[in-house]
Amino acid sequence: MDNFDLLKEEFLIHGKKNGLAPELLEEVLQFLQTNRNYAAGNREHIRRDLLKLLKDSLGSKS
Amino acid sequence: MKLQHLVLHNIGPFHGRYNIDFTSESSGSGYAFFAENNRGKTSIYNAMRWCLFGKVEERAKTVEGRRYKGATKAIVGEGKILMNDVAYESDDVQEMSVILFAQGSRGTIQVTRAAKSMTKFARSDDEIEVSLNVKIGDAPLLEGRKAQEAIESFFPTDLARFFFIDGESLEEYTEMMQASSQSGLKDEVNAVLGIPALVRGDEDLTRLRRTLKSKIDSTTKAAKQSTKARDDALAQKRILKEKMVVSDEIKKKLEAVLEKLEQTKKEMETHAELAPIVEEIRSLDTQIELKKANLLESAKDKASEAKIAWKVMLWDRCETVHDDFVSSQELASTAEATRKSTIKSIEDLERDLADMSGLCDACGQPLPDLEKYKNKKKQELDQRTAVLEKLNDQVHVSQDELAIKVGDLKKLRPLDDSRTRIIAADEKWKRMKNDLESLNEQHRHLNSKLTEGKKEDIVELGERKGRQEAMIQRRQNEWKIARGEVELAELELNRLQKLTTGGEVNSEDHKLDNLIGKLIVTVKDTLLSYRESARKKVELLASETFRKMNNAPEVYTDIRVDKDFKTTILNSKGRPSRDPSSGAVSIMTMSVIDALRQVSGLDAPVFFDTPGRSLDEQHKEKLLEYFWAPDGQQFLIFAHSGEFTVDETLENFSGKIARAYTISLPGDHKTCYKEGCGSDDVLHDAYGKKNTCNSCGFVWDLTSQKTLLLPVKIKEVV
Repeated sequence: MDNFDLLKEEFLIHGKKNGLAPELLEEVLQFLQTNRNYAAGNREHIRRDLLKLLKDSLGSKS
Repeated sequence: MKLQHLVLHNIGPFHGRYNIDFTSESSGSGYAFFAENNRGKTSIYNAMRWCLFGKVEERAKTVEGRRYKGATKAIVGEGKILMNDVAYESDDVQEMSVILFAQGSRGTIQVTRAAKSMTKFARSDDEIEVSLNVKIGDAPLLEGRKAQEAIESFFPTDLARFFFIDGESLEEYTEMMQASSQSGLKDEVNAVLGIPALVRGDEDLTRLRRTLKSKIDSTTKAAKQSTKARDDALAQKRILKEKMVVSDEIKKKLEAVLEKLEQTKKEMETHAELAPIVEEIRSLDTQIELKKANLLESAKDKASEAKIAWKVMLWDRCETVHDDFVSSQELASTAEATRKSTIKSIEDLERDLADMSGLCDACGQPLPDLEKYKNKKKQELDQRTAVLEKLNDQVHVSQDELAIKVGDLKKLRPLDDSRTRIIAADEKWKRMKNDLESLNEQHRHLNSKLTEGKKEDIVELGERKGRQEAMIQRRQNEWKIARGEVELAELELNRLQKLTTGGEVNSEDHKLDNLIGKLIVTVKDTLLSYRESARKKVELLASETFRKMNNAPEVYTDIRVDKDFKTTILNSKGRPSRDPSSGAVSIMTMSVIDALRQVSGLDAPVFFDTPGRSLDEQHKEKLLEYFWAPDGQQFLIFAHSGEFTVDETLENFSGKIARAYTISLPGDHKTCYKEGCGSDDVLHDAYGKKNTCNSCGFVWDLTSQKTLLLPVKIKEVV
């Protein structure tokens, strides 16, 4: 089990407590992990993509 | 990510272009650069850092647990610089570059950073232009800031400390790990634990939510405003309707009056031939009324003037008496004056006669004809006396009496123009009276042309027409005001209707807000618990590595990592070791760095400069044994011959080492270094300062400063 698995495990536990779907949690964490190294000042496009991801997840739910 | 090639150009001791090949068929992960001091080991290490991060910092210093960053190395200028000295001082163009080729999950990565003088001779970095471009797979070439961002995505600066390990700074790492203050490592530890993924995720989600909240709030506010506007618009519609009803009613009334007026006019047309007479009679009526008023005024004037008529009449009779009295007054006055002058002249004559001495006043001689003269004076006196007597004998009324009589009569005297005014007032009254009679006559004459009935009809029609016209005027004014109010109400309604648009509440936004809120809570909860989980993980991995690398695993068994990532070596009893050896401490530090690197999950080679410093032989061997594990991450060491010898290393780690190079100067070589030769049959010419290989004839200049980067032949393991 590498670090990412540990983080994922924790993230899923807390996310489920908040009533979030595991698929969405995995997707969000993967996204954050992939984009973790972009500096705070250069994350506008990251936020745009994250918002799209979340909107899409709501769309697929409905 | 696997490093494939590194191309150095004019950096450090490398003048010209040097290609370092990292490709290998071997499963070994070990890469080694061997050299004496000042040959260029650290320059390669620094060239990598410069290529990736754009700067190279001098070694940091740690004082009482607080870390002070080293200064940034200059590319050009005085002292130790990054650019090759010969290239800087002697080449026509001052330039240097480093190109890095690697194979990553997204394809081949090529990073090119170059520095070039903008002037003929750059004296400082201000005159140096640095360019950067990155090519990843088939993606378009990235330049400048975008290129640096791309590097950050696969090789973040904040994790550099765990991939570019400086053996000479190992004590510094150790101090930071053992110090009570973790300020030096805190950021890096957080970064390594992947906490930035959560921290930045938290920031991203919070910012997204803030934006969304702002949108929702403004939409809600707009919705409230819109609702209020709708309510207001409805109320305004009612007001408009009422105003329109009022306006319509007035309009109807106006139309009705207009219709009646038309009717009246038609009726009047039936009396059209008599209308002028009626009009004239009405005009005469007005004139007669006016005349009567004037006549009355004139009569008053006449009466007023007549008040003094008695005076005029009385004066006619007493004016003569008055004039007589005035004449008598004048006569009496004249007689009195004459009498007084006569008396005076008599007195003068009598005095003259009395005073007459008969002598000349001037010469005192007797005057001639005195008697004659006296007689003449006496005659004159007598005449005057007779006149006085005559005057005294005349009987006159006294002047005072006359003055009283004249005064009394003057009171009866009218003003000079009284008569004229009385006559004028009378004449005016008479004239007006005549005019009035004339008008009355005309009136009677015209009246005689009309029957009483027709006259009444015509008068009534005229009056009705007048009333109707006045009513029309009033209604028109009322209608104008009412229409104005309708227009204002319409304008207000339009304004309110415009405000009713927008502000529709989007339920998707609320759902999204709810979702982001839950994710933020999840991220925060994870951050709280994950750090502890990660700490345990680091502790576990570091302990495992420590047991593999330390030479006394039975004494030093574990590493404890506390909540602040402060580290301690534990003994076999699970207690902190009181006085661990310096080698054990170094290995602990390496173990923790490696554990942190592992938990970072970042796929990147590790560069270890002077890895054997402060380690004994056994630890050095165990270190490479551990890090050069088959199929592991590329692990590059930059070793001094005192740390690791080439032959021993190759002998001991054959199969684990993929590529190795020596960095040297020609003068360092006593055996032939020509590729494929390696003969030790060499003729040394101390005078000529050169060596000649007797086997292949290769000659090398022992004074040359041209750095040699020679690949070391790796024995294949069967």
